[in-house]
Amino acid sequence: MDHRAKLADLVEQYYALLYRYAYRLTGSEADAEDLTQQTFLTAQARWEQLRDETKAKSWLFTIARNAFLKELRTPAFQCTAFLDELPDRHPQTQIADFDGEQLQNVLNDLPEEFRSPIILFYFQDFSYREIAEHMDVPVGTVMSRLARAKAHLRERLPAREAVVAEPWTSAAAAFDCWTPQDSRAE
Amino acid sequence: MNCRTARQTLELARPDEIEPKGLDDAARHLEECPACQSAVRRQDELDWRIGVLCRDVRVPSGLKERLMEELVAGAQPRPELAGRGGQIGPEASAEPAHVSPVAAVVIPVAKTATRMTRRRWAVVASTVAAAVVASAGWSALWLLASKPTVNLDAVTQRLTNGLDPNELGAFTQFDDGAWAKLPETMDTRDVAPEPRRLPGGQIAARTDVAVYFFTLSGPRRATYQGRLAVVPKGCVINPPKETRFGESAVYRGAVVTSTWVEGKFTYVCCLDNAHSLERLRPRNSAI
Repeated sequence: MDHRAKLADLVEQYYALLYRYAYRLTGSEADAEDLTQQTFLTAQARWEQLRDETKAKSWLFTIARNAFLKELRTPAFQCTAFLDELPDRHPQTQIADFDGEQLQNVLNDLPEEFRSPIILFYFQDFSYREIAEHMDVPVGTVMSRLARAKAHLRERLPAREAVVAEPWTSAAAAFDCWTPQDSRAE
Repeated sequence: MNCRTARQTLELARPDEIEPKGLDDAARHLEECPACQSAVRRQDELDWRIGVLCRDVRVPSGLKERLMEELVAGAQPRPELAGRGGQIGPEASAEPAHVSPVAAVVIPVAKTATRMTRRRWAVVASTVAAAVVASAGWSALWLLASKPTVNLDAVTQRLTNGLDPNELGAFTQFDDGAWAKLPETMDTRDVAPEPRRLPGGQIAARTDVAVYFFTLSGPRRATYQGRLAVVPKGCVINPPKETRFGESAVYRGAVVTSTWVEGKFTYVCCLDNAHSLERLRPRNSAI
């Protein structure tokens, strides 16, 4: 099978997943479609760079991310929020009550290095190791970023009050590192 | 193991994944702790809901077909390259080509005088048209580039929200080659001499902003952070009327901001402690 046929196979297999990733990354249908298209065109142009075809999925998503990062340097895509600045809005005594648009808004607030792994995490199609390869960082860093991104989502997503209230350590700082440090009994 | 550590450990544990340290202990803790059971259940519900919504993106109809078409089109030799390497048609292989230095248009040289004349006219016309379009484009770009784009409200908001100097690169010069200059109506003894570069993109502008950072000491050994942004006067959409530091100030909670124009620059000074404002007036200030 020549590379065009293989690429067509990849389009068949991954275009939808790639588009969803691109949409969650950019927050816009038009940008997501452009990014998906750009990804496959780049893959076609650089086909010889794919040495291990079992890693084609990871390769495609890396191309998509790199293309997005390139766009990110333009004003329209600039993100100005940083996790450390985000206030605690919703303690963990509340129940999630939000829709896709609200989720997208909260994702848009996340810096890209947190947004990409959390999207891939929730897609459930990527292992931690694959996300780490995709991001080109160690697995521990992925874990740490995921924990902080999840804390961010918990705090920012709209919620309604739960019937039973109880404490939870909800600050993003609580998840600064993956390896638990604090061994004191609660 | 305590509740916090148990929840941290359990938070990212997934089947068939790298097992986090202390997972067994966390699982044991969970069995015995109703509070953690409840919290983990809520987190699972939240994860489930986010996961469902995250994946719930409608893929546009016909996207796959459009992608395939693009790939096919992308694999074809481009028409303008046909005369050089594409070898499309007998004429292309026979005729040499040269490239116009003006618009990089490939001009095939025809054999017969009639065709040559017609083609040359067509090429000349298209070259002139391309030059006109390019010139208009550059003019538009020049006009766009020279238009002020920095909104001081955006700068103020960025400074107020806190900026980490370590996240910003070093600032060298503005686009017009000017160096950032410290104001004279403000006491700048504590200001770090090297400004950092706040990229214009972060404030939806085309001009980068120079930001100086400084720390002021307060009572009881407290310290307060300050940030001073410098923007060329002509780049600002909404220049202030004030011409001196502290001439007027805006208070937002504990944070105070002063904005003014001095010389060739507009300045925005943001202090994390409102009482610090007085500290920064020059000793001989009449204000």
